[in-house]
Amino acid sequence: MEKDTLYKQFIIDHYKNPKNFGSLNDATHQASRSNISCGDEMEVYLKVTDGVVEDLKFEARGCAISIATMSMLSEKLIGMSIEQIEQYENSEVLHLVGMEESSGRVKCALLSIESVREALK
Amino acid sequence: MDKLREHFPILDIEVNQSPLIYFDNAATSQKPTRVIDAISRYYRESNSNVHRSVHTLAGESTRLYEEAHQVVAKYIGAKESEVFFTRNCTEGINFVANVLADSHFEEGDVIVLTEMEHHSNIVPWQILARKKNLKLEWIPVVGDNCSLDLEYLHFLTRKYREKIKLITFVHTSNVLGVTNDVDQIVRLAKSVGALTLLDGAQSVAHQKVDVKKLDVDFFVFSGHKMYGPTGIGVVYGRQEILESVEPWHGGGEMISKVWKTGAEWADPPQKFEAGTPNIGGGVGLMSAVKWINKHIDFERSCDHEALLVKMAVAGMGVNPRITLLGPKSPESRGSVVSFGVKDLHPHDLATLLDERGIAIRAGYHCAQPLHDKFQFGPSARISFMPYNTVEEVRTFLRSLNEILRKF
Repeated sequence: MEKDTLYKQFIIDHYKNPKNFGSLNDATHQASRSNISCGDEMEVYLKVTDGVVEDLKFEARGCAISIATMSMLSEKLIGMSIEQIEQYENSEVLHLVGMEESSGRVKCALLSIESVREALK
Repeated sequence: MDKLREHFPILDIEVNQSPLIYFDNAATSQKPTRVIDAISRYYRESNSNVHRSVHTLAGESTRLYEEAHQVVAKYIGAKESEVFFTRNCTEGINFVANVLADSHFEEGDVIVLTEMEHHSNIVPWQILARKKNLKLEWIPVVGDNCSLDLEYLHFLTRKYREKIKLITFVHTSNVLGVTNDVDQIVRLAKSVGALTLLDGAQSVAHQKVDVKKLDVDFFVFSGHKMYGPTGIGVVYGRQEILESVEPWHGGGEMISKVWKTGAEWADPPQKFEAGTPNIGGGVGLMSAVKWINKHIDFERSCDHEALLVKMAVAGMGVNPRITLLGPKSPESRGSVVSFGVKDLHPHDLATLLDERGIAIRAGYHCAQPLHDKFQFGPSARISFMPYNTVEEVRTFLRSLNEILRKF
């Protein structure tokens, strides 16, 4: 049954105990984004030093997919350069959570990377 | 009710290796074979443009399309001249907003709506209010059974008197399931000379509607929620009003004569159907009405839906993590149950149920102001039609409990 569900244990774990959840006092970049129709809201805080993401925190209210994805993505992005993040593709984000591009929940998952992109604008 | 399911081939499909349990009927209903076949047969045997030619096929399609108008008008107790087809209920409401804009409203006038309205019966009025500098007033939803506060409406009529030009409200709420008392609101509207527009999107599928008995000035609905295809809706407008207003959409079909400097309008209802209409949709809608007349006994089907609602409410009510949104008494819920689950977002619940073949709706159901009023975030919603079964509700409850144990 685990095989057939989007909600694998690691997703549930990231949802219940998201990594890098919180805010940053010394954030250099910040943005809020939401999927209003779903009720997903996300705020990301980045600390960028010499073009590299030194720290990233996020606050979110919404579905498990949006929070779990951001939690997983945050671990990947910390230590990346801005150039590397700019090249980070949507498909890679979906791959993190094991989601097909045809899934009805793609918007929920991509809220993560879209918030980061917004912050880096 | 099992015999009813035989009419709906889609109910036999599997979704994610489980039998489909379709509980999203308030979004759109499934269609009986008869309706699907009628549309298909029209395109296979009778397709031609309406009203335009004298050849046989054109005569056939015109006859069918006109028959569709007669059948639908009769179904809601209206005269043929008072009923025309649109794309959907939303377009019908936009029609009313547009044709009444200049003839009925001036700066400072008031439109009364309610907290339980669907966005389609809110946004067109917001647009109109901005354009013409009008005021919107909202009848609150009150009490354990989520009724409209008619005392407040009374207060509004005393406060604004003839400045209230329109009172518009939903017949049956797509979130709460409640059906509103039309008579009292119509009486209050008439007392100040206001027009009434009743949104019948959810009600037409579950009860017999007689627009003359309801005595409203406008009644709008979509075909696709009442076993018909998408892309076809209906506006009923009182004859005197339709004769007096200018058309909204101009073009072919709605004119009798056109010259360089002007045009003469066709009579209602033709006056309000510009361009080539959704002929296939009209044929489908007619077929849906005929199917309902033959196979649905509204009293029995409502009793059945009430049973399903009661089961669902009882099954969910015992779980402390589940909060039901809507009236306390299950009987007031019609065929809809909206709810929230603690620590489980409705989108996640909807996906988890989908993985088990169960289709529900999650979000605001195009009723954000209603959710705001109850300070309810997005909700989950199950909605029934007579082809849903007791067994399906049992499976749903079982699946829900399984999911809640895991999450």
